[in-house]
Amino acid sequence: MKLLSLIALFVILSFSSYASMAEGVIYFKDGTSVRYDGKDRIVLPKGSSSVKCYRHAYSSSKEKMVYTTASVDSIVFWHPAAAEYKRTLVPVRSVGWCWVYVDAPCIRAYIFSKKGYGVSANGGMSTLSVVYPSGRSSRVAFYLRKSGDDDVFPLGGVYKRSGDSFRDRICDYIADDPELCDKVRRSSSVRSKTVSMLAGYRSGNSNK
Amino acid sequence: MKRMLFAVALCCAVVASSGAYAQKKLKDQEFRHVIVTLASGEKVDGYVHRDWNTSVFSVKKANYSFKLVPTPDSKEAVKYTAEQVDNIVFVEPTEGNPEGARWESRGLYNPIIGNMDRSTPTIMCVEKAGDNSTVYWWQAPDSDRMADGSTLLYISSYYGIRLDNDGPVYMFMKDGRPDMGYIKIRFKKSDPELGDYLLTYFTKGKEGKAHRKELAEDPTMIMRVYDEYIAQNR
Repeated sequence: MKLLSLIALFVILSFSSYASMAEGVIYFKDGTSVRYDGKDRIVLPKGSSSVKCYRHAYSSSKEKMVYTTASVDSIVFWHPAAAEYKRTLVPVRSVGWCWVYVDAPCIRAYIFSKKGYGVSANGGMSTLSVVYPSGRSSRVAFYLRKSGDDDVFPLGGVYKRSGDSFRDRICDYIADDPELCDKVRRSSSVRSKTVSMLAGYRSGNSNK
Repeated sequence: MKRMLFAVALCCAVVASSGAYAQKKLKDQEFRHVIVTLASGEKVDGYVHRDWNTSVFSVKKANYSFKLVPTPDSKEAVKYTAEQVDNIVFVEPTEGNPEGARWESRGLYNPIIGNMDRSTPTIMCVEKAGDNSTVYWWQAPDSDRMADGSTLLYISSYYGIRLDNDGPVYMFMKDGRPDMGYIKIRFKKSDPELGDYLLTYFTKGKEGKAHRKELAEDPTMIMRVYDEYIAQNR
């Protein structure tokens, strides 16, 4: 049997069941908004790219609209076949376009995916990533921000092993809620599930 | 050369498996908790020990068999094949599958010369289930011959549709590119009207091009096209 030469171990973990265009509403910093639905589409932005949208996205007469990242406050979007599952992308300073993973009164958790995001007809949302021949994969990471803070706190990769050091980093950030801290330390779940616990964060809980 | 290839394959297998092994060390194992409905109707509650997915280095048949354990710590793994199983439902919802992933074992239309009705039992994920059809997706290894004679190995993603929620699944898209070949082969004689309807909708003229673009972004669109066909013709 002729041996195969593996010249490129290039596995695209592109989850191509996910579309990178969606219906949605773009909310601007000046308080206005614009809606794209029906045959209109928003191209889910990635990195620090501007927001591209199309009226009549699939026809030869499609019209392209481009909005600068600086003018956009957030994008609420959904897959055309799953309008009940809405997600939000926001531009985060010094990071780029992030998926709002946890949106609680006192804290937000973001997921940043360098290669972008996709939505699927079952309502699912996913990050897109690439595995390079070196074994390294494109960056998909968690960031946290407490309400009122300007800067985000980098938490680490989404798909890495969930160990004590990861939970310690979370607890360092939410040290003012020792009750939640204790729950996080005692959990032994995948990273995304641990981060989801932050929905219960209450700032200054130690004062109660 | 043989030693180098073996070393590369071994390293990649270690890398690929280390993530799964590390996840199995977590106390919370609900991410692999499933309820399997067998072809007999019996339900089995367990945890996936080895799944049915594959990699470019895997020697096992893709999307065909898996092993289940009754509890996360159990070593008594029971193997199931696509013929034995009707569906597999993941108990825990995730962001990627808000209602819990549902995988079904269906016949994938896979004709060969001499047997144009052949279908291969394949475990595939439900993308969307409707009254008149269901769209599935799955991944499988593929390869391309490069110009220098070497071979590029990769994983391809496929979409297929099961019409009338009966019979085999017909692949209609690979790696984001619509491909009506199997539909054309199948319905050329058995239902030429349906075959013409779908082929015209997705391949003819400027409108066909626009429809193909939309299908690439939303594969479930083919379900609505089939619903319209039924409404017009039945």
